[in-house]
Amino acid sequence: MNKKDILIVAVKLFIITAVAALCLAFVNKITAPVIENNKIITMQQTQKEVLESAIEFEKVDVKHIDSEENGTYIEDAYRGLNKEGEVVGYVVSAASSRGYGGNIRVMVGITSDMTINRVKITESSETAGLGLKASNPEFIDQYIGRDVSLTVKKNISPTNKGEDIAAISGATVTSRAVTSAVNLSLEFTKSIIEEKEGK
Amino acid sequence: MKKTFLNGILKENPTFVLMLGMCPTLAVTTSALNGLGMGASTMIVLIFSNMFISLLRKFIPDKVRIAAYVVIIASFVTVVEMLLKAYALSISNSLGIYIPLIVVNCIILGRAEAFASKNNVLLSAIDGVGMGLGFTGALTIIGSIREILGAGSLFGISLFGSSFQPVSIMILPPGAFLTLGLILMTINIIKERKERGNIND
Repeated sequence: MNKKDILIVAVKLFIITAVAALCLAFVNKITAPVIENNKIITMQQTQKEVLESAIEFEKVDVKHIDSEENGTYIEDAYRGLNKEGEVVGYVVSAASSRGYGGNIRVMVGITSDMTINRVKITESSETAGLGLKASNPEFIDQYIGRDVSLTVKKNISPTNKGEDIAAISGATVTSRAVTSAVNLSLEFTKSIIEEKEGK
Repeated sequence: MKKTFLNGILKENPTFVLMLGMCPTLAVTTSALNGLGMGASTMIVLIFSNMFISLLRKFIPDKVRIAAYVVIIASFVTVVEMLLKAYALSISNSLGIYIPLIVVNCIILGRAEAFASKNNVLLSAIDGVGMGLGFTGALTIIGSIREILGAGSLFGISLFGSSFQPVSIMILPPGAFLTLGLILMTINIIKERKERGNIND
């Protein structure tokens, strides 16, 4: 190939990549704000789902409270307020890196009397038919009404009382990851309330 | 044209004959619905990438054609992903993981190189449809087998009673290899019998 041919090839490739980059930048400019807004709306919908008694949510400043333990960490926490502006509970987003397929993110709604209202799994890469079953009511509803730190046990039936969570058959890793995220959320909420009362 | 269309479904089925796109085939066929969803998304991308590349086939320099194909395909898929996330959130959520996976699917690059770069836009589009349907069919079949044996359901509907003990390994990676291997074995047996039949005639 002589110099002229190389130059033509380079220019053509440049044009292709330049047009591609322009298209991407253009579409990104239009869609980025919409995507961001969608994320906020989805988050608000999930918050309402896990704490129905609240109509409004306020972000709580969490940076100074200890929020990480064994691969499980708190992402953020919101105070839930009813229409009179009173605090009815908290919604905590937590994640565990110990899922079978990677990170599992949960949102935990906790009422002011430190009882778990509902848990929703917001993100997971678990296996269909096994770890993904964690989102089924049979597993996830076990957390409703609990107020203590929970342990996963195998070969027991799903329960709503005490300190045990029945593991999903064949998905103990997933069950443990979700439970550790829920436990940390409950503990974290206790710290928030203690701090508030301490003041 | 009909020949091009049928080619991708049977004679040169991307999964069972050309053996392209094995990674998503093995990873995503954990259920019939997953297989169907991935197949359909890939088909849409395949049709348009074939058309795009066919349109530009005289402009893309031969020496850098693979680089050009990759840029075009990846940009197209990214644009689709952004548009879905912004304006069709529920579709994006159900197909979410599949979309970025399509970029690395060898079928897209394979057909761009083997067909779209050498044929006109209409034929390339038809090739995309044929190959896409062939791929979707293959994935749905594999996904169905794995779901029935590994979870006792089909498209989420439970088939057997609660006393059914699912063969869990089927929805894990080894199950994928087993299913694909057994299907290929069956196809090859059928092909050999047909050929022996033809020779005897």
